[in-house]
Amino acid sequence: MGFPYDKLDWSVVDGAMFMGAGSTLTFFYTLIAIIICIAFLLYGQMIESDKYDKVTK
Amino acid sequence: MEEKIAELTAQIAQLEASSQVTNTMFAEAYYYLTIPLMILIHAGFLAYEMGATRMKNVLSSGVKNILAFAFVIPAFYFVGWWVYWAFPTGINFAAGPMGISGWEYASGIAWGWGESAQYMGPNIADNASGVFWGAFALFAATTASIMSGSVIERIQTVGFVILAIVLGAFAWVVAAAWGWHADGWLVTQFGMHDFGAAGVVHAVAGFFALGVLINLGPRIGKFNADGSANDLSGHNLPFTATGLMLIIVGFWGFLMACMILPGEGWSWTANTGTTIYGTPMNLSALSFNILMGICGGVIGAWLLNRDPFWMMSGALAGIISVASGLDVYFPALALIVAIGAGLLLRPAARMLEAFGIDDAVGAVTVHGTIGVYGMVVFGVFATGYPALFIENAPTVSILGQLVGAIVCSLCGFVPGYLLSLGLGGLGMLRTPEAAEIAGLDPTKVPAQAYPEGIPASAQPAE
Repeated sequence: MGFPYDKLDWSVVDGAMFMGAGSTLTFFYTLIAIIICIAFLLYGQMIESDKYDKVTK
Repeated sequence: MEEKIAELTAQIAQLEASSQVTNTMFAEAYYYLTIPLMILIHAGFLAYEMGATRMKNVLSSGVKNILAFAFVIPAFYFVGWWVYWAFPTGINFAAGPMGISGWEYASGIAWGWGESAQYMGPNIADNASGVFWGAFALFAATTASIMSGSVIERIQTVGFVILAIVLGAFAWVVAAAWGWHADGWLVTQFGMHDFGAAGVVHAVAGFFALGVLINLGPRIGKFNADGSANDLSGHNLPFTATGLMLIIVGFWGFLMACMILPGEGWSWTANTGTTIYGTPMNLSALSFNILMGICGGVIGAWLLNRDPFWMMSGALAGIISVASGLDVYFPALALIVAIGAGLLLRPAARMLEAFGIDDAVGAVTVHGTIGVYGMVVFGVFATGYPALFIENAPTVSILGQLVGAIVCSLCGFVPGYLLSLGLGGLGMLRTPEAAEIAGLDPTKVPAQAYPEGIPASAQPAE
């Protein structure tokens, strides 16, 4: 987090300026996002299976 | 030799002039095209709202929405545009440090009479005022549409139009002047950053709707004697879901209109796109983060609720949740923030219901609650970013974003509550009980939505 340039001034910005630019944060953001997507899919599958089970019983 | 140099100099001057004309025409066309894109927001709200009503109120809901658009645009022309330029430094109407605000400046460019009228009508030497005004007028109409859905099936038409005019031509414009303008005091003193208007459009409109809903009361049959809520389902969920998708399409126009193009007299820089605060950005940033926002919102909403209405609302909430920082979010982070918004959606709507508020389409939650969430979350992740393109600029902070979110919410809630209270006192707010029970279409609309009826569909799952 924080401004990714040494000087707190937009005039020095000449490239990537997003949150976490130039740090390992981008890796962690990406990893967390992927884990959430997979976890949600698994949970979603569980819920949907319960609904199918109710109909088939 | 001198002749050759003079000839080359003339050619360079001609090329520069030609290049400037191209840039000016591109800038004009860019903002012009955001207007029809934003009209899609209204097409979407129209479908969304009509689908969310019961069959007896379909057309009256549509009439109300169409009229809001028709009255808010001229009201914004008459008053709103002036308010935006006059109010940034506060109610003292003083000129701000950038010299583009205050009573004198606003009166010189935004009134439809006197010298300033030259900027408020066709003028071959002015390729900017009309398209900027048009884009802002559509932002204004969007606020009215946001409020429109929440009050369906029991509000009087004229009372609603008065509320829409005050919201679209004054309430949100004050918030925009304070927090969405380079001279705005929320920006210069608190470092507020709200690129895509999560606070100045969505939170204002959402909380304005809440103020109105408190005085308007719930629809007949919404709540039981014990306080539990009934689901008054709309008559056409596919229509509503399609409407939401149209709103999302329109938001691409809304958000691209928030970017300031380079190379013009009114631009911040010669060669870089900027936000309204002058901080650098480009359309690629929007492309990354809007798409991630949409997807995150849908995913989050889907986890807690399989209802396509809330999933599509999640898409909208996803965009709103990252709107403040679309220019600087990292896409994976935008996805995470938007998933949070999707998760928040349904519990927040249920909480509102527990307080006896009948928000027919979840507008208070999607726009108000998520607008505030987006503003504050941005403060958490963007702390330390300079808020303006100037030396020693104030920086973004959690406190600054929180103050901004509270001010925006009050800019909506206070006028919404007071005006609806006054309209209620005058008998111009709520429809008579008999008309509500019979339906507003048979009471006042000289047309029939479905003359041949609609067959019933399958029963819903648990």
